[in-house]
Amino acid sequence: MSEVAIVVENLAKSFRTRSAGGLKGLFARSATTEVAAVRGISFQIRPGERVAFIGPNGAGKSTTLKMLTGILTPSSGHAEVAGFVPWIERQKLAQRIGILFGQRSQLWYRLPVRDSLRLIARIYGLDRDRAEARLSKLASTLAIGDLVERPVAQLSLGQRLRCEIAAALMHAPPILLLDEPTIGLDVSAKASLRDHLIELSTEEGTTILLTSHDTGDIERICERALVIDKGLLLLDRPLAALRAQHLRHRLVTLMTEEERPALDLPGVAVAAHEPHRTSFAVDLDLIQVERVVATALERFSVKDLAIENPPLDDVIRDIYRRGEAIVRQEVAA
Amino acid sequence: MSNTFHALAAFARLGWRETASDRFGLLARVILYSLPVLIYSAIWQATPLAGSGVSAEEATWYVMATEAIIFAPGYVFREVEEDIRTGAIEAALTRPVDYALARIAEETGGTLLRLAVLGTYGGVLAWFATGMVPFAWSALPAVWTAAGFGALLALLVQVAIGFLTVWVGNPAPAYWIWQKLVFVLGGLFLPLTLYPAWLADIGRLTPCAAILFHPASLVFDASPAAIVHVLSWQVLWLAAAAVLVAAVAGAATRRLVREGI
Repeated sequence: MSEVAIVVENLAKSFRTRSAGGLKGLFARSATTEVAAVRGISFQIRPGERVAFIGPNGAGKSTTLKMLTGILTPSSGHAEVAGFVPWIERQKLAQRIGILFGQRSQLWYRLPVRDSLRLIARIYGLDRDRAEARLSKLASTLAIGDLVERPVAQLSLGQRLRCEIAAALMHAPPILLLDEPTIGLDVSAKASLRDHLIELSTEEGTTILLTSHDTGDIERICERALVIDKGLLLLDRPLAALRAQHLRHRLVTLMTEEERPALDLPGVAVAAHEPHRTSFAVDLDLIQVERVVATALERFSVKDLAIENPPLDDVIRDIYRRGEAIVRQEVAA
Repeated sequence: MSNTFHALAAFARLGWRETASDRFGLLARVILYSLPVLIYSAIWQATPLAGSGVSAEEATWYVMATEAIIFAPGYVFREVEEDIRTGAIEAALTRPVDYALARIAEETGGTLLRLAVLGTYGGVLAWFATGMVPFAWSALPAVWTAAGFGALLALLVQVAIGFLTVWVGNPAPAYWIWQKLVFVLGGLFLPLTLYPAWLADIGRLTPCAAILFHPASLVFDASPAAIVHVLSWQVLWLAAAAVLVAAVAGAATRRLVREGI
């Protein structure tokens, strides 16, 4: 593969919506309004990268993903995925990408999973031996060996999603596009699915572009985040940089002999308290964490302490809140 | 090309297997199918079609055949409609095999299994009811082929109707109109030979007759000339239906890709 797995340049998509409805709409020429879903976004993804595409509902994530798979033509702009222009070379591109829409199944409900996977292998031109070899590898990596003989109807959601990922990866695509892959899963099923995805990506060098509302997916799977809102790309950063740049506070939790320790330092405030356990929010613009910890150790009998980042949710909420101001800042920079 | 053919054959096998796995659905269809066959058989035994040139026994076999053909494809347009409404078509469009071809292949597998089950069961039922088989055994492969072509033609039109979802949202009214035309102009309960001449002439020229009347009329005349006539009409209409599906599916897909779901 080339140096770049996905290139997106000024990609934009507007939809026309009709206003007149009901009986009147049958006879009257309805007025149309143009709604911009994606407003000229640009980014590149290197082979093997695992990138999160983050944004609130209606931000333009799924529209972008659809354009990158070729099932939606952009209003303007350009994109190449695995060297193909998706909306022009959709069927050629299909051989190079795997897609998982978390809420939609690619498997046949009443049949054993193996039947669906064999059909999918056939669609992608794998002969029987290659299909069986691939199936056995995926069965072991995704721990679905004992599921493939069971009809899809008998699987739990978590089991089904692991089989869906196997379906998306049967033809060993170098690029995997995931739309809300863990939606509806319980905590342990999510953790297991994330681990499997990382393992597959690391082993096969698969590029992953993932949309999710679950920051756990993003934190665990991805190394870089694209933040989009109202059709604009707000940020494109490695996750660590995103945290460093947008997390201007830390949480220091002290377990002490004292029932209610008090720290009267600038930029330090009590975030939560219960007897012998107090959490302090530390504003990094005003004071360093090291100084807070040193002061605490000096003043109290500390039995244990923990320094945490606030959840990624807070970072993302902050980015959405600042929205277009961030874009202007980025452009200026 | 060969890869696409193998993929479509795999879709057809899967459709066959999925239909076979739905045993309750098959059983319900068999029960539902028995009703018109038995009722019409009883009606014609009680009120013979005197002077029409059609015996009560032949009429029973005729309805057995038309009902088997009409029951075989099921409601394929609903499958296409659901794929479009739920967005499942988006995942299908990202595959290297054309969605419409794949859907037709899969539904053909299911349709052929249902036709085989209903046709065999109906044949036994009609034989019990009438005590005769109206054609020579040597004509049986041609009769099955004609019945299969009829069901396939019905399936193709339904797929085209299903794609109308993209424009009208709910294609059911279009299907109802089509279904009633097939019932009347195709001669579901009565052969077109019993219709007024002007209506029979119109009916014979329509695809409705190629679905029902032409293949079922082999119970009256399964001579080589009749078989060639029936199969020729069917091939002609199958080609026209294929062009129709290609045009409608192509336009629908272009619209979906342009405007989304």
